[in-house]
Amino acid sequence: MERIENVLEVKNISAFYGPIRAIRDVCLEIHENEIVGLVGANGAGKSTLMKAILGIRKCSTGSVVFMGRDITGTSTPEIVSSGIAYVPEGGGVFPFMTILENLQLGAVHYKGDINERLAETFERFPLLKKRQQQQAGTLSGGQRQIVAIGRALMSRPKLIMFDEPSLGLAPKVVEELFRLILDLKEEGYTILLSEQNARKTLQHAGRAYVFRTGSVILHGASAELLDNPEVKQAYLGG
Amino acid sequence: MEAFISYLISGIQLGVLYGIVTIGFNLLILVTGILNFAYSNLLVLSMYAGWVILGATDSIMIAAIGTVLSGVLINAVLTPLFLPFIKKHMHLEALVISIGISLISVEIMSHWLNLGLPIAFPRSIQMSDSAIRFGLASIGIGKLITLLLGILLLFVFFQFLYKTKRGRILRAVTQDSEVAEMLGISIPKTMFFSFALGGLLAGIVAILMAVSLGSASSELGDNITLMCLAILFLAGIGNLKGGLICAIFVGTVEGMVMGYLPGDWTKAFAFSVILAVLLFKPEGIFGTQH
Amino acid sequence: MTLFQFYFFEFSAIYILIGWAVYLMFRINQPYFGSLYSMCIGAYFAAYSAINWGWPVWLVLMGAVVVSMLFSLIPAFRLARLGPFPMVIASMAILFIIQTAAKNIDILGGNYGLFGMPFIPYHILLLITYGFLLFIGYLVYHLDQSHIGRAMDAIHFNRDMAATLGVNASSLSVQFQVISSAIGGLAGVLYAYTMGGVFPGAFSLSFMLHAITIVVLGGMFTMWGVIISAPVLWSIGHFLPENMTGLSVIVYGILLIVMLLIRPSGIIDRRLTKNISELRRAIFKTFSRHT
Repeated sequence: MERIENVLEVKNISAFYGPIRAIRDVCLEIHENEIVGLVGANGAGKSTLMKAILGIRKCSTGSVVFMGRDITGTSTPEIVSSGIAYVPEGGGVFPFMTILENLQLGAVHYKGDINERLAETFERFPLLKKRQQQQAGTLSGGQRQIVAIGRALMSRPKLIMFDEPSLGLAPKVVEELFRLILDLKEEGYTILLSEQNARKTLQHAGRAYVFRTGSVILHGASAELLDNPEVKQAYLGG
Repeated sequence: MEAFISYLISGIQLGVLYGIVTIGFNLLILVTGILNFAYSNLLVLSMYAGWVILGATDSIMIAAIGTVLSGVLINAVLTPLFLPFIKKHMHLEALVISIGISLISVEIMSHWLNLGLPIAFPRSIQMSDSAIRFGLASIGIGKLITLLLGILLLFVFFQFLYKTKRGRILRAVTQDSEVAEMLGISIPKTMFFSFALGGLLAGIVAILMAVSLGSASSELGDNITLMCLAILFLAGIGNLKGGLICAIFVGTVEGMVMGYLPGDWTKAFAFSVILAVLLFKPEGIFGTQH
Repeated sequence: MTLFQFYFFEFSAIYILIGWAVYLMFRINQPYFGSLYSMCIGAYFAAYSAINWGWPVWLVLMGAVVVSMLFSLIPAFRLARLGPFPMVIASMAILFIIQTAAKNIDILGGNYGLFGMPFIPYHILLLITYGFLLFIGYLVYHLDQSHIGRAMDAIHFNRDMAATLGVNASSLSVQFQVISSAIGGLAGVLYAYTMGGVFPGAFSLSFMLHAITIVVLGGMFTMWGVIISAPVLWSIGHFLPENMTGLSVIVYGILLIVMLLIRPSGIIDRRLTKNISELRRAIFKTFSRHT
């Protein structure tokens, strides 16, 4: 049975990037414990939507409701501490800091015992434990993604947003990454996944939204979208 | 030989103080992207504040606390002048503002405070009467104490920066403020904090300078700015550790040279160093790493 | 004409010249104050050549402009690559080094400077000054309106993007450094003749603040702003009570900060000049219709 309460509900938001309207009238909802994909070309507004949810881009209209609470216009620190974590494009690790420090920065707002979270993260990613004193700038692209995911998990978030996680990674690493995202879903996390790799996203996400020039043009269950002729032609290469 | 050692120690002492001030400059550059040209003039202004408090209360303890507080306060109060420009990345305008502030503060010190005369701290706080003598040379206790306190301050500062949560947040913002913001770190708060922290460092250095120099004048700030900018560009903007190494080197050289060249030429020499580095190695010796 | 009026007109013109020289470099986002040390060089060259060699005015003018242009060429190619921060610091460094040299070289009179230049009647000096002002003004206006003006805009907003449009920012910077130094050298000669000589204290850092204030206050995106701000600022410095001489720096500083905070583009910005030219066109139209 589907839960009625949504984790995240985005209602008719528009946001500007300078004088240009980057997203217009976007509606989106994410249910408890599902993977929602955002599909679309580079610059279609996926990143802007995530930044608007985080409160980094101010929305000119509309509202964002997270866990039944209206968070429109709230400050980013507050939104993050209410349980949204973000994995930026390319991982966004701090290159001149150690892995350990990167992980600790994920828990800036975590109220409980950080060491416990660290132990749990190290258990999940033994590699990070081994290299915890290594500078993050020396890691490979895939390893940076792992650090970024570990960092996001440090705050025990309700919702994790991934921005182009597979960008620039080798196919084998992408495979592992998506497996990891599925694992996270199995553990009960709710996930918003923005990707240019439409096929992979639709194969893993339960539902998806298709973006074009700042608007949602299609949405629905992934299986349906995979069969949709328009999606096939534009995003799946015919 | 004894004289050499005495010069060396006072040179290193000077270098350590330069190093701390350079860190103050760098801190603001790293966190906010602006070069606060007025920083050392404001440092000297808090020396003046300490001097006034010392005259009024006759208590070294209260004056010391007052100096540090005024260092923090002056820097914190001026922060709102810079914030609008930092937000819009108008770094040049912010630099012009800080040049304006620095000239205003120099003007206030050279015309309004103490009738524009240099201020002198009582000899007792300098502890220059008791000195360690070796052979023909001697070195004041005050100098030694400030040297040790300066090193201690540097140690504490780097411990703070590398071992505490606040320090980690500060470094995160300097490395990638966009990602830091996405992790829920408040950028305006961190900027404000870096101004106040810079003020704290300036306040403490003001005390150390009062003890080691025994006097202050409106020109002192300009001289410190000059040397610290030379160090800043020599080491590479934003490089804390490289800045420290260069500061100790420059301080030592200045300590040695001061006796042999007239004051004006030392300054011109410092400016020539700045110019040469800018023209031939704009990224500095150590580059801009963290 | 009273002495005060003479000084007012003369210094206004000199500071407008300096303002334009600084403005050109601001336009390409390189706050270079070479015009200021060129002014120092020009003034010293004028004083020295007029007193010791007995050169006439026109020869002094030509000599000073050539010398300051040549001097500015020495660091020009290196400076051309610098960003705004290092540029400010580098200009400051050169200004300071030249000031120190002037103070310490005996034949230049040390701290007292060089005085005793031949006297030029006020009205002739004013005539020369305003002749040059019009000429330089025409030149700057022409630069602004030409394709170089558009290249300047491109560089100001994005130097890398300008490069992709085929604008060579470095070579433009070198040219502008030389032009603005020539203007500076010219202003220096006029300054020296006005004062009857020159002394090193005139070219301190607060002189640089004065120049920055003129450009920022007037508006750094058009050439017209300095025409208003230069005379106004000079007057402020001279209408303050005698016992508050130090106050002028404070007033400049405060004006600078307030202006940047409330109207960063200065008194006269692009929009204002555009509105004025539209208004002029409208008035002209109605006027011609009635006659």
